[in-house]
Amino acid sequence: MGGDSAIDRLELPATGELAALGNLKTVLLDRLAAGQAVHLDARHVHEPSTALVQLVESAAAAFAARELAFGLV
Amino acid sequence: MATEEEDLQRIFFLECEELVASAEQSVETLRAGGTQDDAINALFRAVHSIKGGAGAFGLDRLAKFAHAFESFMDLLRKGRATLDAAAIDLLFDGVDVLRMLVDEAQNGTQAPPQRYDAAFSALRKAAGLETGPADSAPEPAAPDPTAGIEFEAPAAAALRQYRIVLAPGPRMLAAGVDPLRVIANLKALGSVSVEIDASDLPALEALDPAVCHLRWTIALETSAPRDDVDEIAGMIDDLADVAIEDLTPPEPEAPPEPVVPTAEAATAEAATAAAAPVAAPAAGAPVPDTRREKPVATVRVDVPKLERLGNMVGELIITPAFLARQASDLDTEKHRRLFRALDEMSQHIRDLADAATSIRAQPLKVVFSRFGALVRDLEKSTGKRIRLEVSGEGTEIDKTVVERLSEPLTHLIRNSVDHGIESAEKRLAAGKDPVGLLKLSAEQRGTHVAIELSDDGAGVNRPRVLAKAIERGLVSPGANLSDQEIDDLLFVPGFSTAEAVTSVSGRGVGMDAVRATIAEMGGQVGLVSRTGLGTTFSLHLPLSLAILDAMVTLVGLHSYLIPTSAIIESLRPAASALVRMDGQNTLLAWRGSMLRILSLGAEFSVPGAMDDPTRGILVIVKPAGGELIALQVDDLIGQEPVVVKSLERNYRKVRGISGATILGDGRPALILDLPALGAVMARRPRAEAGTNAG
Repeated sequence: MGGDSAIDRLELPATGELAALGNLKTVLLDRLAAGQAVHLDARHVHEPSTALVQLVESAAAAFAARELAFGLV
Repeated sequence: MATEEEDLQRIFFLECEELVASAEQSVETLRAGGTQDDAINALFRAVHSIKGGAGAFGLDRLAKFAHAFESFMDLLRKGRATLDAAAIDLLFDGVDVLRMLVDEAQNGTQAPPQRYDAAFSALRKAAGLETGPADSAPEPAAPDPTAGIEFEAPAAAALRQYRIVLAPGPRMLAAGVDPLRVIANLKALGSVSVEIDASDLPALEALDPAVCHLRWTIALETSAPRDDVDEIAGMIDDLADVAIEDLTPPEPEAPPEPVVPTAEAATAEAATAAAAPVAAPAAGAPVPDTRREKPVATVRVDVPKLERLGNMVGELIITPAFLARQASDLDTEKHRRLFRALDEMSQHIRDLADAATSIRAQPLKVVFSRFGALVRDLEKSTGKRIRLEVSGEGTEIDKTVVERLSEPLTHLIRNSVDHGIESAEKRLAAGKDPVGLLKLSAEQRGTHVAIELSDDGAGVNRPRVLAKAIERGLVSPGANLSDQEIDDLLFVPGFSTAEAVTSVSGRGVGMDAVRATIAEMGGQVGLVSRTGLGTTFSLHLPLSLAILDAMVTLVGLHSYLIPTSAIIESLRPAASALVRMDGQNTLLAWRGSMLRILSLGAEFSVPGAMDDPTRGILVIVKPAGGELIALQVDDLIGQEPVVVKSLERNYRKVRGISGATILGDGRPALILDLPALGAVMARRPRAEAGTNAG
């Protein structure tokens, strides 16, 4: 981890439970503070929930504002 | 969070149980030729509500099936499909599968795929949603359930356009309801286009994942009635702001119902107008909905809370009796106001107890409504023809009893069909209607509910029962048993007369379990059978499991309680009315019959109990389904409501005793188990002379 070439890959919670999303938000803020780019792994998400969608949207805006790589895989 | 969603689902499944029972009841009403409009509308509403909830929780199979069902109901209520026997069969089938799908969603027990496919396809076809041949039907050999149903192709209803603004409140996500599900439900009504407003979405640091910050504007074009849109909005009206605007341009001079321009159709529409209001006449105008009955406001309460209330009221109910005893030495004239206040308090507490009992009461319809489907299944599996007549299903009884009644009643019905009702050929040969009659009835009798299941079949085959009992060593060869004693063998654990174990009954594990289950609820089971004419099972159950009206009797220094509902009469016998038999039994000549006397003092070895019946009191009781017996006690103290406590839980099971209680004066007393005492008497040898003196 760390360094420009390493993009952290975070798995999105499949069930979209609110508690899991709260944890994900904390991790995203950590990465943001560390200047770490992230890719969110959505392979296990079959039916995105509203809560997940708005977290991803908000995260995308935050990472874009810091010009850090952000994406979904 | 997840727990909250689980709670909501649990409530939904509870509602489904009631809705499915209501749906089945409506189909029964339709089959019986009852008021069609009411039953069709009630059925439509039940299926519609299930569909709405299933959609909200993402239970797709249930939602899809309910949608097909509802579409067919819509044609029926608009008079565009004919309600004939085939349609009623399809409705029954639909309700059966609906119940299975609810069970599938709740417990994961998958509904039989063939059954689902066949019913789903048939409903879709009948609703005009599937126009081709039923090529997806898995069993081409199976009869087409829609054969014979006449229906017109659904006319293209006018499309209406709505703009719906959905603004979730702060609790919506935390309550486990996802706005996207709501949008999916709207999508099921027609075509939608959705705009998301994310302008309120905060920065990541400030984002609370449990709060919805998005808003949606949905353009919906649908031919579904406005009610459907309102229903979806109504499901979340306490969690979100939903504004619905009808953007459909007003129709120029057109009649409101351009569908089938015939007089009959117009009449049919008029007849069902109350059930199917047309779309809103103008944008935004409220549509008066005359279809729905004003719902009774309800509150769901956890059962343990109700139990606590019941227990507290139960404890309270003995207070007036206690105070009355304490005050018995006072001068009634001097203390008139005190005695009046005692009377009033006693009455208020009885009213409170009745109210507490009624809170827990449920109509037996909840369980009775399942038996129509059971009997139809049994008809198919046995090849016999059976008509089920149900009455008194509105009778209410404690919820716990209702829940536990399903299994024993199911077994009794299976038993009646398997062993009682004969095949059509045999019935014809016996000069009977080829269609067997099964009657299930219920009525409240005082503080009890009596449920009877009777068939007009062959009756208990007593020679066969006796032979089997001898073969199994339950009865010694050559024993001379009365009819009642032979019938009673059916309740002996493990007894079965089935030549081969059938899928219907005959596993030999049922009748004793039936008696045990009913006894656990403080009830009794009886059986009366007449050869060639049929069998009647009688279940006698207390309205409430906690409170019992009892006669307090004295035997020696001990108190024994007799449920007042079973008491026929009490008397002090003259010596001339007693017939002593073989030095052991004494019989009472009573109204032309000879009754056996059971001395409680002798039965329970009570020290100091009177031996001589002429100095004591005989209480004549009728255990449910059993013979009259005369219980010998020393004296009667009086009638008293008592709170039943389990003896088994606190001590151990005692034969002849069903429970214990604390009397108003603080003394403990035992409650008699009359069916068990009746069975004790039935097993004792009885001299021939005493069997029937009438």
